Parts: sequence; C-alpha cells; structure tokens
Amino acid sequence: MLSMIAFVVLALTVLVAAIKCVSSRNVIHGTYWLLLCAVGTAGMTWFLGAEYLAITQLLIYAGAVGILTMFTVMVTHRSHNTASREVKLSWSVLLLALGFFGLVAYGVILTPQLAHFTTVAEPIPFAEFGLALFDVNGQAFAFEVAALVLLVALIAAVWWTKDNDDDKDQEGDHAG
Amino acid sequence: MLVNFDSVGLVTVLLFAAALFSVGLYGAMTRKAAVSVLMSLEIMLFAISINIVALAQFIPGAQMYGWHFSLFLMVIGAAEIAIGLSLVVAIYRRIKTSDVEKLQVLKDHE
Repeated sequence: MLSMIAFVVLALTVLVAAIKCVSSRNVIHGTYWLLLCAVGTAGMTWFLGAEYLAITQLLIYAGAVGILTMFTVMVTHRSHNTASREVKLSWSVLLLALGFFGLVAYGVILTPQLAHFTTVAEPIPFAEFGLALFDVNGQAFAFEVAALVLLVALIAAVWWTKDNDDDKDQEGDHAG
Repeated sequence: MLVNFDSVGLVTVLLFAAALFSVGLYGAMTRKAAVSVLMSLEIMLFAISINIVALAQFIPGAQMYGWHFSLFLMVIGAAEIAIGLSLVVAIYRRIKTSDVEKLQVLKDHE
C-alpha cells in the first residue's frame, strides 16, 4: 500500500509538471516545469529499483539538458513579449492525444500476461553493470558507437551555432 | 483485477507512461515556440525511458539489457536535444524568430 502511495505521488508530480510545461504561456516557466518533470522521472526510475539509471537521469536531464534549454531560451527570447505567448487549447490535437492514450491503455489492459508482472527485480550491482558495459563480448561495441554518436552530435551543434560568415552576408553587415 | 492497488505492477507503470507520452504528444503538436516543441519531445523521451526501465525491472531476465538500452536512450536523447537546441539558435540567428509557424523558407520560395 505504501509503495502505491509513493507511486501515485510521483506519478502526479510528473504528470502535473508535464501538463504545466506544455501549457504554460511563458517558455521560461515551462523550462522550470520541465526540470521538475525530469526530477520526478528520475524519482520514478529510483522507485522502480534502478538507482544507477536514476542518478544518471538526474545528471543528464535535470542538470545538463535543463541548463542547455534555459540558455537557449535566454538567447532566443530576448524580451518578455516573445518569451510569453498565448496558448490556445487545440481540441483536435487533444482528441488525438487522448485517442493515443486510449489505444495504448486498451492494448495494455487487454494483454492479460502483463498483469502477472508485479514484483520488481533486485538492482544489478554497479560493478556487474559496468563490466557488462565495457565487455568486448557484451555491450562494448554499442557503447563505443553511442559515444561516437554523441561526439558527432556535439561537433554538429558547435558548428551550427558558431558565428559563420554566411549569416553575416545574408544580414548585410560585414564585420570586416 | 489488472490494476492492483496493494502494490504497483507493470500495468500501472505502463499506463502512467502512456499518459505522460500523450501529454508530450499534445505539447509537440500545439506549441509554437521551437524550444517548447523540443521540451515536449523531452517529455515523450521521459515516458519512453520510464517504459523501458519498468519493462526491465518487472520482466525476469530482461534487467541487464533494459538498463543498457535505457542508458543508450539517454545518450541519444542528449544528442537530440543538443542538435535541436543548436538548430533553434542557428534559425533564430538567421530569421530572428524561433516560431515554428514562421519557418516557411522552403514554402513558396526559390
């Protein structure tokens, strides 16, 4: 019963934060709600027994991604007028989202095998998880590919955001 | 009874993740600011992450693979948000707006 209460509190926190994030008029306020949503998601992961993943999620999503999003909002929304905009309720999209949820919920509830899984496994020891990650016969190749993807993404991000000459040509103000 | 109120089962977590994904889906399709669209995509990624962790933890024998998959999902998520936000900054620098409805460079343009 206690675990159900903890789950409901966590789930409500994440859902309310997500709804506030997508419905807030001010983008900066939306970013704060996203941070709460990320912390709640990490809490949910911890609740499910994956402590290592929860800490990683907290570092990546609530830390790095949150800061990056805030910086982008600060760079691209100079005044309060552009950061705050009207949000209208779109009934057709709401219907689509509810339809999606209904479809998934229907599928989940109609699969009776899923109801048998009620106990959470013991968390993997960190050493065992790390060894499997770097094992040549395990996930080492996938790990290297993931690292390469991240490196390429970061180089692309830096290349796109750097102040290149094409933009200046288009704006018509040559710096020299 | 599918949803057991004494302890949290896989079905309950999957339903919660579906609800979270739907919220993200609504945000991604209605928001006008590009940063808000990216934030909605992040919410959808959170839902997927919770889904994978739940499947890994509840299904016997799937734990190690689930954890690894979840870790790689985080890497892809971080790469996606880095690329997305840098694109938003680049677009803003070029056309001075990050409103996705005003991004019509390819429409009726040479």
